[in-house]
Amino acid sequence: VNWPQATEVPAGLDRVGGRVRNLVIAVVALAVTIVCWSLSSPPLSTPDENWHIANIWCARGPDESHCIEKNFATATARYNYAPPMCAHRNALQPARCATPSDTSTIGPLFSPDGNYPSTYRELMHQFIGSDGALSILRMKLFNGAVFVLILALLLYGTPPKVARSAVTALAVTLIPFSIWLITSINPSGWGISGVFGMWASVSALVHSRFGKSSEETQSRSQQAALIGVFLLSALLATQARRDVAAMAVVVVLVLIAEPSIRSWKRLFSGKPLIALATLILASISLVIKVLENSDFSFFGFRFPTEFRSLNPSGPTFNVWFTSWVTHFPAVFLDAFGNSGLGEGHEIVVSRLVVLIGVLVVGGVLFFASTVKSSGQLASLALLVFAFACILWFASLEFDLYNVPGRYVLPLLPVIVGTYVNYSRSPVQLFDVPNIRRITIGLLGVAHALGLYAVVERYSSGFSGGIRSIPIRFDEWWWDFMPVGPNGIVILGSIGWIVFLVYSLRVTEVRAALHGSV
Amino acid sequence: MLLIGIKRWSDKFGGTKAVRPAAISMLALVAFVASWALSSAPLASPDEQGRIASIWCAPISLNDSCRDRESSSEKGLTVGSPQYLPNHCYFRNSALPARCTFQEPYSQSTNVFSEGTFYLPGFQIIMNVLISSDGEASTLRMKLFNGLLFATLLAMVMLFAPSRIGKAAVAAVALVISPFSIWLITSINSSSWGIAGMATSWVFVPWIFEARRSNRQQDGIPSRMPLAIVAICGFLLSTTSRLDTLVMFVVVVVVFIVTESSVVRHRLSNWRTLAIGVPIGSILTIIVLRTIGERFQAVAELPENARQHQPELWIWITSWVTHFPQIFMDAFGVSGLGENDVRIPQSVWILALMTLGAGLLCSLTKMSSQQISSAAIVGFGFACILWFASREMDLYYVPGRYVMPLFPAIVGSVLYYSKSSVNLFGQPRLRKTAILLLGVINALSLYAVVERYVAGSSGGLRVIPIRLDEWWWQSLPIGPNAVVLVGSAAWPVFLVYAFRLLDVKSSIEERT
Repeated sequence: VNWPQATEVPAGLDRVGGRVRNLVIAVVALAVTIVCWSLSSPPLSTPDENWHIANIWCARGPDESHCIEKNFATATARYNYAPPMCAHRNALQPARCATPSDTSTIGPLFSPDGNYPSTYRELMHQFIGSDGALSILRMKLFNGAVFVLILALLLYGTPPKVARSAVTALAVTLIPFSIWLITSINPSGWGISGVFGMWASVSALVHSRFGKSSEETQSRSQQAALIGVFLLSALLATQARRDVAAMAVVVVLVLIAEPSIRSWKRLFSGKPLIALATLILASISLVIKVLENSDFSFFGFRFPTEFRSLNPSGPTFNVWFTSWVTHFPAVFLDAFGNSGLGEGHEIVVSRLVVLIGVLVVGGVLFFASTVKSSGQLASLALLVFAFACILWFASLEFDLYNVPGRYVLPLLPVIVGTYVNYSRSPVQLFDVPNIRRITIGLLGVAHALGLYAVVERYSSGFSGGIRSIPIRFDEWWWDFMPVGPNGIVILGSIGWIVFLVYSLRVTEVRAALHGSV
Repeated sequence: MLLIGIKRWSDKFGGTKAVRPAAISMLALVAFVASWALSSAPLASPDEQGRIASIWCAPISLNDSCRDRESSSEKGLTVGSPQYLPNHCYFRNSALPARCTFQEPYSQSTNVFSEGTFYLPGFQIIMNVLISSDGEASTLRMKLFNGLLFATLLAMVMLFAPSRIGKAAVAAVALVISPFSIWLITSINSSSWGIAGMATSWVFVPWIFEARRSNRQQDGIPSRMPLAIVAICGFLLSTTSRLDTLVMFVVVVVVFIVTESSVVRHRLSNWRTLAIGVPIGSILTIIVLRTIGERFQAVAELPENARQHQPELWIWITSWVTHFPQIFMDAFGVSGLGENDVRIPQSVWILALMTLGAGLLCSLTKMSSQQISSAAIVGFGFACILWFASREMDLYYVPGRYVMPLFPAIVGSVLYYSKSSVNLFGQPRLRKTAILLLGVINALSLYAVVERYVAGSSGGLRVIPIRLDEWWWQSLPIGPNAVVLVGSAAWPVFLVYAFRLLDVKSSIEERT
């Protein structure tokens, strides 16, 4: 294939200085974006935030300052903070519409042996101060900073190919829902950061171990950075949600198994591929049959809720199964805000964001398909695992058409990243200068629209269009900040584009130095 | 006859290597459109009770298909009572088999799309010629006729147009036609002709210019007859179906003529022109329409949960600009087919948009200033959407089928004018992947339609259980499952062999 000019090291760029400069700019830009997302929404905005606030405030039991009462019998907690509820699930209301009359709130408690380990809320509890809203902002900024740290270490430590795959996967799957969750007090944010960090660090370590090029050998500091990312990510993934811990384990197992899969090339060519596909489908069917008919415990932990039969007196197994297979990709669309954001999905994200998201993911996957490799079956395995997760969530309390996408969001960047990472295509989407510009432009537009939708909804209320957000002093949550909502949208939008440009440059320069593009 | 025709064509244009792919692709294309024609029952496509009344009670009729036709002076409407009154018991209830035993027709008399609407009588008159005593067989005949008309035009473009044009046209059709467009093409809805005409006739302007350039370089003059037929058919199909399609045809032709002019070819030197031109053109369009359009109702044009506001002009504009691309997604069955009662699996539009995205991004690896044509048509599409919205709908409810004729022209012009050395259907592995995905998209969609109109929608996939009285086309030797299988196999086979044929033509053109 006569591919267009692939990227080269920009002329005259000092190698070491250029790398450091690009890395610093990328990290600073990401930090700016993360700060803007942290400021984009007030308390009670993310899903189930009233639950998370109650559990964070009462993480250490009743005390004089934060938690008044913690009652496991009624599964409720009374705590010393009353976030205003007047705008709850009403997108037309400014979020700061009234000062609450109460000083305390009764909220629901998580079961101690439930899906949410206590480490998250105990750590978040450390950030509680006298001002509830400010306390929550501190937590959000901390969670965002952890994500920035992980990405900075990854950009520094990973081999170019893995770094490029990681940046590509993040660029096309992070906005708007994942980045919003990462900068929230919802444990799912840790889940996304953690699983992604584990995937990238293990990919890099496996790549270094099995990489053929001696030029890709990493320095000690780079290896230390990767091990640091792995440990930090493992902490996040295992302490966010128990199901996310299982996801992280499966991701690592698949990555470790991948070199062995690669060596079985004969298995994955021609008819054996059909046999493999049949085997996978048969396995899924078996799992579903088991799920259908049994109560199901997971790593020794059992949900407090009752499991529902997946197909109670419904259609035949074949109809039911194929209905789910043809629908489940839509669950991932929540990553692009397909079902709206916010507690009651009341933030309508422009359809353009969803369309751009799907379109760009398609471009990335197709470019990674020009020369396929058996290693890409790892992403197929992860996709099948995601399907199993969706079925599992559905067996809890939802049906497939109502499984919230955020439950499987940690797997989306990993699936895309794995497919790109194991591709043997000589050129990926972001390697062609013209397409890179266009794609960054599209992703910049999608990100700006997503950020704007959230900021507008929580400051002056949803308008349906785009405008300079009219702001009265009492409508803006963070009135001590030197920037208002419009400033946040502009800064965040620019920050995201700058991050994409410079993070890709980091990988580009390193790849060119290693001669591996 | 087909084989003889292809043999003659190969002697003149394609060479012996092209005969096999040409023959197989033509047969597969016919099987594909026939499967879609058989997929749905009478009354299936949008407003079909009105179409049946309009066709059976056409202004010029050679048979006694109409019992009564009268104009109402009060409302300015024409009401017709056709001899054929289709059963409607399944109407808008997707769980019901379409051919249920309840025999009461939808209505004895129905409003006719005629004078005073933008549906032109030519379509109705031609369809009226195909009427026989059996109403169901008549509708099937019309569907097959419309499908074959489209297949013939596409085949002519593939066989006779320069290979570069042929590849762009086939790729554009492949990327956007399934499921909604092909379903409309093989229906008795006037939009059938509009989409078929526009999907194939946009090529004739670049074809003329390529022929002129080729004449300057060589002594031989390419055959002008196929070119003339495609141009005339495209014009006739557009002008006799819908008034708005006629306007679309004219605008698209003008856009392509301007695009081929030396100003665009040589003076617009970089892609930034596109980036600047699209928003400026769109905003100007909105401002003009906003100024002259007294009928816009601003409140009703916002998303439902924002309608308490009286928006400012700027909010209104940006709301529309960021929403209107969604309307084109109806092409992939986002809003369902039929009277919105055929639910297409979500994976269809996701896979379709991903494949389209890959196709467009590949073609943008090296852009040309002539790709501004697609931006111009997008801008025009936006204006059309505003116009439709100003009639009776708001933006959030403009049916995508109204602007669907423009979709192949938009995608085709991006692909044709690309200077990229790589394209989705040019690289073997990408081509295989794309055709596989397009095959899945088509199979899922065709299944959803057939199942809905035979046994009722189940929500999943199964061997369609069929009782004899539930299958519409009992006189045919095949049942609904076979229709799905044939249609599903025919589409990828067509694409594989069509691109093989165009590869052969391309290599011959390079040699000569």
